[in-house]
Amino acid sequence: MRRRLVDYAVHLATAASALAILGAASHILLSALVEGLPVLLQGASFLLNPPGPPGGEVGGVGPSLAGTLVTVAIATIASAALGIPAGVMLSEARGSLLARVAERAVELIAESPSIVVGLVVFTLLVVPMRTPSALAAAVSLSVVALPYVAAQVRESLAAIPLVYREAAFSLGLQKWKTVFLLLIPMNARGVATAILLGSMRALGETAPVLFTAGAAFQAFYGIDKPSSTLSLLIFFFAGTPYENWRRLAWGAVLLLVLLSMLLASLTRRLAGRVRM
Amino acid sequence: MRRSIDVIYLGIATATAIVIAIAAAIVLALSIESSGVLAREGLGFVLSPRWSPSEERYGFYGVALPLVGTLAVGVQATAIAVALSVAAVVYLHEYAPRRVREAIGIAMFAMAALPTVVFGMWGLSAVAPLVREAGLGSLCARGSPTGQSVFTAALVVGLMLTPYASSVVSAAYDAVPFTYVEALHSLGAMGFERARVLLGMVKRSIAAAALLSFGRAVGETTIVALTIGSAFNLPLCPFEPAHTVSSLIASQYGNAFLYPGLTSALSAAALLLLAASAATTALGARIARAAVARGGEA
Amino acid sequence: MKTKQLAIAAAVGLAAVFIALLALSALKQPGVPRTETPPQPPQTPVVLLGSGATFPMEQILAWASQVKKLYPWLSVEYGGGGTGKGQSDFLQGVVDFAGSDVPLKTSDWEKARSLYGGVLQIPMILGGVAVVYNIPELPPGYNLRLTGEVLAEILLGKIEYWDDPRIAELNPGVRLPHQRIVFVHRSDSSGTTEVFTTYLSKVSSEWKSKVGAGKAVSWPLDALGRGVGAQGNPGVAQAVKSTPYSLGYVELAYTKGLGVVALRNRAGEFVVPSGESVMKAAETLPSVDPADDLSKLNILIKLLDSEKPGAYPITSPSYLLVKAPSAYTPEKARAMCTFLRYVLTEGQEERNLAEGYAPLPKPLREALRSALERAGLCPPP
Repeated sequence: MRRRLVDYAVHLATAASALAILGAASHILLSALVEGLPVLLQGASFLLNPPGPPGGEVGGVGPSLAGTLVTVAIATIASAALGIPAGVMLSEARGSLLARVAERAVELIAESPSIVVGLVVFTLLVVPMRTPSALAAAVSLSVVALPYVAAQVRESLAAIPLVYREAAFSLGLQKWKTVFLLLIPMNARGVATAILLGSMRALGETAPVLFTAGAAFQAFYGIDKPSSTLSLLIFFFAGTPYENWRRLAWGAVLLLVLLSMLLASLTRRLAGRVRM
Repeated sequence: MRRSIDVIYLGIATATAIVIAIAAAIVLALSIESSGVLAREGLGFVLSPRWSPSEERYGFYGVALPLVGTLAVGVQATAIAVALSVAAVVYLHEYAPRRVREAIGIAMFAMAALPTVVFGMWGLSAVAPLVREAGLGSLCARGSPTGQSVFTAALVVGLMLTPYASSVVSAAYDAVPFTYVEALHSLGAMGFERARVLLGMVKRSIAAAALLSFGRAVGETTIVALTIGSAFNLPLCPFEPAHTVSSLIASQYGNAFLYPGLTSALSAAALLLLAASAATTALGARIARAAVARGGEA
Repeated sequence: MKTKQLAIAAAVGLAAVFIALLALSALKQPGVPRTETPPQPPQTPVVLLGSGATFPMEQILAWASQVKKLYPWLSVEYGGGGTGKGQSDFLQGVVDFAGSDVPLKTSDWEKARSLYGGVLQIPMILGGVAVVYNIPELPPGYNLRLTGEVLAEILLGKIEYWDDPRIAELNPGVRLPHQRIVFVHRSDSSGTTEVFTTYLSKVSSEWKSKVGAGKAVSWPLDALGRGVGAQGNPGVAQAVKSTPYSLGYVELAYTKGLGVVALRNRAGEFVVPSGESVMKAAETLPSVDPADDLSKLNILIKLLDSEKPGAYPITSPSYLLVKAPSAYTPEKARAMCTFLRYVLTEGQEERNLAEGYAPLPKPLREALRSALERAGLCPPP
């Protein structure tokens, strides 16, 4: 009898925790939906126009959206260009000096708080360029996304059984040619997942772009000029007393959530599970 | 034949070298910047609670208070994340009907996909007012009047970490060989008894999840900056506002140039943060690898 | 299956938006329909990036959109961040201009001069620092009366509750609640803070010796657990609005929805901050040469705690920090001149002023305009 009571209590407690998680997630998504949807439904003007003046009309997130898309695109390409080969090295040359050092390097970058990355890029890029820019922001985001791409490529390549490599070698294919002609095509899914993971990280980060992107919300001026992103817009506008700016921030939240979910669903479809 | 191989290898090696260079650049840039304040203050930088930038002369910078805040948020957020994850995993595996399992699965997936700034905004607009209205601040000597506090930050960060932590624990739980589960069922073990045994078998993974979460909680900036209250306070009580190293950097770096020594101090704080993050994550990863290699046994 | 098609459709849609926006950005300046434009030669688009004080931020943003309508090629972006950030960014060369509530201190002024061959500190607007509060029990139209001395005592921690006799005797007509006073201050390096603490130092010698003035100070109430920090003027306004029984200080433009204190000036009147009361205090604003080291002139001290009838005690000009023309590219120098000329002429007219700001006295505007020409930033007409 007592056992049954204890079991019931545990059942309740764990159910409550699960409910808490469900509740929190729903509340976040619902808040974003309720507050952000009216703003989003303004349609094209929300996506194209700049924000209105403080205390005025709501306007839109056009320039920040452009900033987000540009920086995420560059960051995805850069982190893939570096992360995929690095992942290959980590998987295929495991044990060599280069690979061992690279393994530590990737770990270090992964553990760096994202604000630290922004700080370093500020010192190394923004100050010499004499201006914050979308480029600097993209560089920060690439660094943050890089370890995830490399790790994913390494894991998915490592999962291919040794047999395939042995077969290729016995047929006379040299090592690195094997990788590119055989292993990567076999593992296209893993590579695609890696690229998407990189994208997702870049999309969601705020701290790396805090000091590097600038605060240009009125228009998108070009890659080497001050810019902004959706996450920056949310960060800056959320705590202001202007009703229209707060509503705009919620609209940006909803937009960001939608974009994120889109990337996450694509990742899941390819990988079977979202690994963070 | 030879040439094409060399080219491919060269490409891969170059990319790897660039990655290594990036990591080196981070450490080097921080170290060079930090040298100023560390040379002047040495250990006093880590131990002193006094943070007084000055426009006129080289100020005195002690990060003891933000370090305590970082620890407080890290420990509390990890505790929340692990507690919720373990409870959720037990519930999903031992008690939950299929529909509920799917719903929770979707909720976890959605949470994993959310950017941290969304969590932060939700924390500021929904959680902080709740903490304030519940009067939790009055439980503390210097309780937060706005609801922004260590607890608020830890709660939101903990929620943010839960999907990842629970995926680690869940994977380990699933990886236990079915024979054990069969045996438990055949012995007539009830839900909580099965859970107790199986959790004991995946202890290592839970520890790994805890350490990995701690590493991420320590480095989290956006959520904390919006919910912790940005105060130089010793948060012995969780409902008080405080600073973490990352919220300190976020709020002070913008005007650092005006105050001699501030840039150096913030870089040193960043270096400290990096070291702490690296140490805990490396430890967690090592335990996780060992756990996976052993097949999820305790 | 259906979700997959939806996902693909969404991805295609997003890609289309992305391409469209990239195309727009390649054009760099989305065209804005011009209403009444003075005839001018075609200009390459220029962006002027500024950061700094949130005190004048609303006004600068308003001017930016007005200027955009008149000169579509000129974009002014202002990122705020506090006076400290603005001066910091300015000295590091990552912005074109900075907004600052206080002049550069002498050592920084000399640094700027050697970096840029000269620096101009141009007063652009007048504002006041309002003391705001959130006391739900008080009737909405009422302005709580305080003196500078009582305010200092509150902030030193000597007055703990709203219904303290020292506050009550100044406000005989209302019932104050027995609640502890919570104080919201700036967490960032702020010129508004410097103006406010300079005022407190002027009216209270105890404040001057215990705390002093500065862009960031150690607030005694923090140690007592009754002080919190918020980011920027907007942050403080929002914090006071959402925290009952709190007290804070913000630029006049940020007082919407908050209770505003009527502060006693040296003539003995309790004055509510407004465009008019700020202008009355600023009648004493001396003429300045923007190329000078303004920190030596103590302009602020002269304006604070004014004894002029109807003048608001915490009034301050806000400055634009601009490099010497040789430090800019010709396009940027021309853009800077256009913007500054607007700010000092039409920008000072009432219809172009945002609520809560007061224009500079006319003689000062003239003097500044000729100073711009002398400095070589603007060619003489």
